[in-house]
Amino acid sequence: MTKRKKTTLQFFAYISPWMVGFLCFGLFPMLYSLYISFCNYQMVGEPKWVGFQNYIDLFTKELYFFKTFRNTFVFMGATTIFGMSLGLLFSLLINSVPKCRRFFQTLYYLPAVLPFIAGTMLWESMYAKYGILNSMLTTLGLDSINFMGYQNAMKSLIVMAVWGGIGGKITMFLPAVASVPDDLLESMDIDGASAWTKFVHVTLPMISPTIFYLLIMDIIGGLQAYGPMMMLGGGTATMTATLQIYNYAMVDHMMGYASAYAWIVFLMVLVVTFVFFRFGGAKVYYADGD
Amino acid sequence: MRTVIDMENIREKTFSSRKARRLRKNIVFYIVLSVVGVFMLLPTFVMLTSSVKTYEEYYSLQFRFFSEVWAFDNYVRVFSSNDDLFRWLGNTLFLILSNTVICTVSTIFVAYGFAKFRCKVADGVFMVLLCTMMIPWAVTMIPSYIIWAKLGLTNTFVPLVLPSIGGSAYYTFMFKQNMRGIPNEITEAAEIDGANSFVRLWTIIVPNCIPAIATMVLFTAMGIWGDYLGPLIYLRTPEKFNISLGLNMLRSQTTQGRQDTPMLLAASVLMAIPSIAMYFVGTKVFAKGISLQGGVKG
Repeated sequence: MTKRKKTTLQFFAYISPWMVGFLCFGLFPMLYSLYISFCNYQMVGEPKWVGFQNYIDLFTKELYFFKTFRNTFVFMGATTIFGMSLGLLFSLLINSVPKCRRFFQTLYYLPAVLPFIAGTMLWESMYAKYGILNSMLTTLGLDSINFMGYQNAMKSLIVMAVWGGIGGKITMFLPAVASVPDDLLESMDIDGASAWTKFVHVTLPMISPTIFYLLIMDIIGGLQAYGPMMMLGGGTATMTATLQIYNYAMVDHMMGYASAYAWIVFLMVLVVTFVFFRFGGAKVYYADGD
Repeated sequence: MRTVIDMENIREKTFSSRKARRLRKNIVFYIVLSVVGVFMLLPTFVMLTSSVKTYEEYYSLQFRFFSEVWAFDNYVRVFSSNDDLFRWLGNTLFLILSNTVICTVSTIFVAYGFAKFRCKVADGVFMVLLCTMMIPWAVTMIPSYIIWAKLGLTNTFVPLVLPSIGGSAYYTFMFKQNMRGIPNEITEAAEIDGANSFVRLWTIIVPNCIPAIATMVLFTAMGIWGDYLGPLIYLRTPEKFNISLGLNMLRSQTTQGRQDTPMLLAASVLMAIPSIAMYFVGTKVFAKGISLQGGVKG
């Protein structure tokens, strides 16, 4: 056996756990999902082929279809924009106070450490009608706010998501910000460059791989958000695509219809990510060429 | 002579003014970071103080950070509220152990394959692996549920454990970066000495990747400890619940028509403690940091 053949064989042997996992729990379910999306299937009997009917129904009969997608994009957009900008801002601030770096990093990461259900119960008690925030407001002599009412529910969930997400972003941003060479910044100092100039022309390009990665992750994750909405409610005001899919599949057992919905979300994620790679990827700067 | 002294004087002045400016700037930074930090900490802090409030005090309109009497019996009530509590803990520990071990071992193998056995198809396969991170959960969730239901394995731990044999795409990426940092000369020398690829993995590669592996173990364990949305789909009966589903069941119980929120907050605090402990241990090894700079190209 040639060396090359042996290497290829070993390569496949070592990645075989992933291949098994990918085939059984990735590719096969995906293809099956595509098939089911063209069927009428409610967990009893055999799936019945209905062609594009599920997709047609989604665009014509689904009551809150566009509202749901609007909610999904609002949530994704707001959590991404606020999360990224605040995360970057605090990373820069933390980076310039090296003595308390660990302390602040831990402080800001703490919300992300809370288990999902603990965070849910915490924010549920915060936002409740007779909850902590409202009792604070009334104690201060202010009017209470219906945090999970139609007008405020989305904003409340965004605040909660940003609060929980900043720590993770700082964890990723800090090593990137710290790796910007000090002598470069100092030489710009001597040339009389302002903090803004230094940020735009040195720091930002240097950390652009991290920004790009975090943005992609945020977009993919944000478009699939459903946990907070499911737990804290909010009804149609916060209904997102994935939550709707969950309800159709797990509550109503309309597997075909839910699968068609899921594929539309998938295509949406693909399109948004592709557009982002196409137009954002070119602006990313890699220190080692390309 | 005079000019020289003046120059030094000026240099001294600009230096001290720059130092003063930097000090002033830093003080502003500290204040901003602290103020925002207080707001970041506030919900968690209120959770802690509200978890020792009596039911009456919690629902009274007068808000106080600290209650006059500390009602630690909220914590006692968490344990007496449901007979299944320790079973839920046991289930959770089983899920943590099985998932963490299987997932980590798989990820080590897969990353080793990608890092040290370069062949033509490797880059293409790795792209597929990265793309799997993009597949929406909803697309695979529905067919997986159907399949597990057909196999009669819903309401068992199988659907929650078996899929982790594929390892984690995210940590495969991280491990691969780490392993490629280990010089090939070392592994090749071992190869000449007769060590096969498996021996090389356990004697050279793994010991050199301990920080990354420890990071994965801790964060995977932390993830399974707090996992709610996965078990929600597959576990149906209370005796199979993990701790998150169990606490969610307590959440829907009411006393006097209301949630027993102080007790729930006490439960949340108890549940957060292991996570926070794991995080602090994790940061010790995590301190080495995952930097994506220059490595994201794959």
